[in-house]
Amino acid sequence: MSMPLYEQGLLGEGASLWVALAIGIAFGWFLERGGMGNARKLAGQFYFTDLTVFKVMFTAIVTAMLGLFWFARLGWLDASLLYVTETYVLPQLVGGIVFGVGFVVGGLCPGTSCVAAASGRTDGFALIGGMLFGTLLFAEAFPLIEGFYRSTPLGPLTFPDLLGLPGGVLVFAVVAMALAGFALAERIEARSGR
Amino acid sequence: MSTNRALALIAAVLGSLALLAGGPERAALDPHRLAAAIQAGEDEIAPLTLARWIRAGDGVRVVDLGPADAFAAGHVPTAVNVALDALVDEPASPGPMVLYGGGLRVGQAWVLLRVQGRDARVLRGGLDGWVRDVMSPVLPENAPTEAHAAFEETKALSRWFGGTPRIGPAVTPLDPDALPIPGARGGGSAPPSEDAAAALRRRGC
Repeated sequence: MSMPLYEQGLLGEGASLWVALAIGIAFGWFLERGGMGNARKLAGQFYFTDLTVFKVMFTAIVTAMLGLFWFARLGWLDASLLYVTETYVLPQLVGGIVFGVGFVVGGLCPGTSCVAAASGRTDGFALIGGMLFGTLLFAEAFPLIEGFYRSTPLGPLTFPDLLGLPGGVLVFAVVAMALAGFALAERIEARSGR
Repeated sequence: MSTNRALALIAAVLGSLALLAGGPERAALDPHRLAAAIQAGEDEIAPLTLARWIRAGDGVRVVDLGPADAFAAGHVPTAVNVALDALVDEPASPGPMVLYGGGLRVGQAWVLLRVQGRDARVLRGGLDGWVRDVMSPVLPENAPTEAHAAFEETKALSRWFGGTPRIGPAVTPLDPDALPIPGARGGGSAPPSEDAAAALRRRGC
């Protein structure tokens, strides 16, 4: 096994940062080329007129998921070294709602706001400003909300752990869901005249 | 076929194969497979089989996981003394690996090497088993005729390593005179090294 490269000691700290920069540039470029810097396109997701966001996100999920699964299965990647974010049910539920409202109101998410700003769009700058202010507010208020922030912890939980099913079953289910979703998205967009 | 359809087909194929593949871990990590291998005795090797492999030059790598002073006092011919953490960092050897010594470490090492997908076995009985079955094999006087015939091969193997096969009552495993390495408790003067087998032949035959 030789991946993850950083965890296996094949990539040093400095080299990892350069790789992260290169990946970030590529990520931003592809988002912009896919139209993800356009707030109208993103907001269209929530009005079911333009489901590009759904298709882009789910394509990324399926590609990364299949890549990680099969690289691990072939012994090229040690999956136990991958970082899995810890689950805190209530805080993440509340955070998700706040994020969703902000996404619909602003028409951009944090990543795409950077893309929009890089493209010279003023709404991107406005959203970044709001995001930084919100981050500052959170940091200042953290002592008051820390109890809630750390409540309902479930640790680094994955669906195979939760459901007691082999990872391959979940992979199949997600791929099936994604392909069905893509087909449905095409139909919805066709009906909305896009 | 459009690009989108081709990509969708590839995803569908890989997703379907994932259903059959089980988990993302390699088969070697499956605890059920490991338990089945242990139950079937695939985790261990008899001293006489190891002796045949060493004599045939089958590329077997014998690893002693015990402390250095115990290794110096006596070890299986061609064995090397390696610490557990160094062992898992070693590149995979082309041939099988046989482990002994270090008490519980040897079982732990077997699991770790299997997780890495390497062909490893535990020497049944450890160094004591080597001394008992290879260096001092004993055939009871009243053993059946076919056992006597099989013992001829055992005697040849034992003498090749400088052992003392005999007919009669069994000796204790820690018989000082049966230790394979000279220089400790009744042996000769050749140092422990990868030529230990050749040195034992000169001494014993």
